[in-house]
Amino acid sequence: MADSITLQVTRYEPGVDEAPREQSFDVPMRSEWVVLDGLNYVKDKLDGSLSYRWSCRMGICGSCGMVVNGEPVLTCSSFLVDYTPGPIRVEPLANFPIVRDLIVDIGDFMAKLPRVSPWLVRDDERPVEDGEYLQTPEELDEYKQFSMCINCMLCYSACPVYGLDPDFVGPAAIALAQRYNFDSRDEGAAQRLEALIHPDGLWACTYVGECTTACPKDVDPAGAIQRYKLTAALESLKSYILPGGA
Amino acid sequence: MADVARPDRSKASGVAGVRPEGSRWAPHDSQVEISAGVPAYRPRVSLLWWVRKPAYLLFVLRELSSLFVAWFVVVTLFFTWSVGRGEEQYERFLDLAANPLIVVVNLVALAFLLLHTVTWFNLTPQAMPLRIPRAVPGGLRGRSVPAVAVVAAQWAGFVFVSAFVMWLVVR
Repeated sequence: MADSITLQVTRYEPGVDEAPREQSFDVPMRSEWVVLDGLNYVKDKLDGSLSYRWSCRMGICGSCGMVVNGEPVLTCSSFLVDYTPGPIRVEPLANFPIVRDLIVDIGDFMAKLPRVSPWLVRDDERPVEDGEYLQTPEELDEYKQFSMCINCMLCYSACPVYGLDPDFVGPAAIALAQRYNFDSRDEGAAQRLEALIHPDGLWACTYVGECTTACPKDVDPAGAIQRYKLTAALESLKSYILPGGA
Repeated sequence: MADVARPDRSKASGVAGVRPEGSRWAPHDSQVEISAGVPAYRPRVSLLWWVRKPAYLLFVLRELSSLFVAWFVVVTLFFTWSVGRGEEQYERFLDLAANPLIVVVNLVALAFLLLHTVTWFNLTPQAMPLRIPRAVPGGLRGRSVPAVAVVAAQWAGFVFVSAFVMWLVVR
C-alpha cells in the first residue's frame, strides 16, 4: 500500500474566486481512513481554511455528502483504499449552489421539504389518555424503508432532472411524502397529493433511477416516486369517473 | 492560539484565484446571492450531461426508444391498412418494406424496442412492488413477491401474447 494518496479538492472562495478551482493535497494512506478523514487531515495539518460539512462520521447525520470521483457519496463511508492509486477528486454535491469549497447551499431542499407535510397528519387527534396509536409489525414494514432517509441530499446530486429543472421538488421529498402516506397512523395523503400532483412535483420525474443508486440508506426514492405516480394517476382517473370527484 | 494548525501551503498545489487548465468549473455569470453580500456559485448542467455516466446514457437511450416504438406503431398501422386495401396495396407495402433503408431502420428500431422492453420489464418490480395478500394461508402471506418473479411473469405474458399473435397470423 502506498504511503499517501492525493485528494483533488474543489476550492471556492466567494468574492475572491470567479469560479471553483481544484487544489491537490497529499494525505497519508491508511486502511481505516475514509475520504472524510483525509479532509480532516488537510484541515488539521495542511490548510485550515478548507471548508466542508461533517458531523457524526458514522453515516447517520447526512451532512458529509460530496461528489467523489464523480459519484455522490457520504465521505464518512467511502474508504481511501477503494480509490487507490488515486488521485481522488472531491467535489461539492452537484446541482446545488456552492457557498464555499465543499459546502453547498441546501436552502432549496429545506424550503421544499415542508411542502409535502413530512409529518403525521391527523384529521382529529386522539386525546392523550387514549394512549398510543398502535401499529402491527406489518404496518411498520409498509413505510420503514422510507423512514431511513437521513436528508443527505445525495439523491438530489444524482438527479439530472433536478439539475436541469431546479423547481423539481426532488427525490427525497417525494420519498418522505410516501413514508407518511404508507403510515397507518397518517391521514394526510390527499393533502400531499395536492402538493405533488403538479408538473414540478411527481410528474417531473422521468425515472432515471440514479437517486436510488446513490442512496446510502437503501430508501429507493425512484421506486417511491413511481408508486406515487400510479396512485396519482388512479386518483385523477377516479376524480373524472366518480360523480362529484373522488 | 498556539494550538491552531497553521496551513502549510508548501504541500499544496494551486494558487488562490487561478484555475488550473482543464477545470470543469467554467466561470460564468450565474453567481447567485444566497444571503446578503455572499455570492454562491451555481454550476451549470452541461448539455452533454448524459454522456458523463453509463447509467445516464442508458436512461437517455431508453427514453429515445419510445420514438422507435412509435415508428413500429406507424408501420403496423400501415401494414394493417395495406392488407385491408387488397393485394395490390399489400404488394406495394412488401416492396417498400424490402427497401434496404427501411430494413436498416427496422433493425435499429428492433434493437431499441428490445432495449425498451428489457429495461421497462426490469424496472417494474421497483415501480409496482407486490405483496402476497394476508388472506393467503401459509407462511408466505404479507411477504414481498421477489423481483425475479415479477419480471419472469412479464416475460411469460410476453411469450404468451407473441405466440397468440403468431398463431393468428400463420394459422
